[in-house]
Amino acid sequence: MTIPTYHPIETERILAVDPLPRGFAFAVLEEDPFRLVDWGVATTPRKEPLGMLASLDRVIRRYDPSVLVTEEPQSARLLRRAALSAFLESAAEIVLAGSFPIATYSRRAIREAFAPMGARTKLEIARVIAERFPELRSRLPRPRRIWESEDARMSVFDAVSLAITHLAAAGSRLPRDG
Amino acid sequence: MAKRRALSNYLKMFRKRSGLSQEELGFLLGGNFGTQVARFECGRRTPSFEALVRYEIIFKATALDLFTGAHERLADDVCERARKLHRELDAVEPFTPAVKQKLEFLVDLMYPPRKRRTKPAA
Repeated sequence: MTIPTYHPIETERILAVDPLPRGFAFAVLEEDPFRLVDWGVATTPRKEPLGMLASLDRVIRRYDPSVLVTEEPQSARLLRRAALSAFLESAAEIVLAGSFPIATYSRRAIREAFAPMGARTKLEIARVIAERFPELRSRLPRPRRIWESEDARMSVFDAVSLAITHLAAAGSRLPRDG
Repeated sequence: MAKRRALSNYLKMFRKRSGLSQEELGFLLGGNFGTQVARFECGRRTPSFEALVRYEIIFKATALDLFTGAHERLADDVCERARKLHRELDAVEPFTPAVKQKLEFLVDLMYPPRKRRTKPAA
């Protein structure tokens, strides 16, 4: 009798990171089934500059991602570009040890990925994400007034949008349910 | 791109979807602290049978949904053991209907249809 070969179901697990002045927001998405596995903001005290890397290392060890996605530094504005470059530089060691690639996407690429869903601004993109992942609805910030700085909760939506952009760029079909 | 196997457990995902804190879930699980929940979520402790059933009730999910990776690992082990037992029974003489019944049962265990798919033929 010929014994067929079987193998376990495997999925692409995306870790999207949005660097912040003192930490980072992250989102972990799985492609099959399409679901948001974890999300949050890791902040570190000013006195511990290496705390951010330790937190990133913890997230990577826990979720064993197949790819790390972040924003492209070249297309960002000056201060943001410096922060993104610093993040990528300091995270390189951890990423090399983890043997997975880094993918970067510009804000324009994110807008293009969400354009078919009718979302162009960050808030519209966040609304689309909250609609797809109801667990994030409570974190959805109210519309920002012109004199206000961006709500800190928006960074999680930025991380999720990066992960979805990566899936869209990889040609994955983004299911609307489950 | 290298794909990854399922995580050992998805307890944190289910808890965060519900909006419950670790302390609140710990209370529903029959304790008073969130520490135990944190340990379950990071895999440092394995929930007891009672905690597992409570998890299933709270999140209306099966053990397979909650512990996908652990379930797959155990399924692999059962599959391997079923193969061994099948080999042993296959060599048994005489080949009675009882042995045939066991072999048929073991074949089902060896090729579970739900979580596995056949590799395309080379």
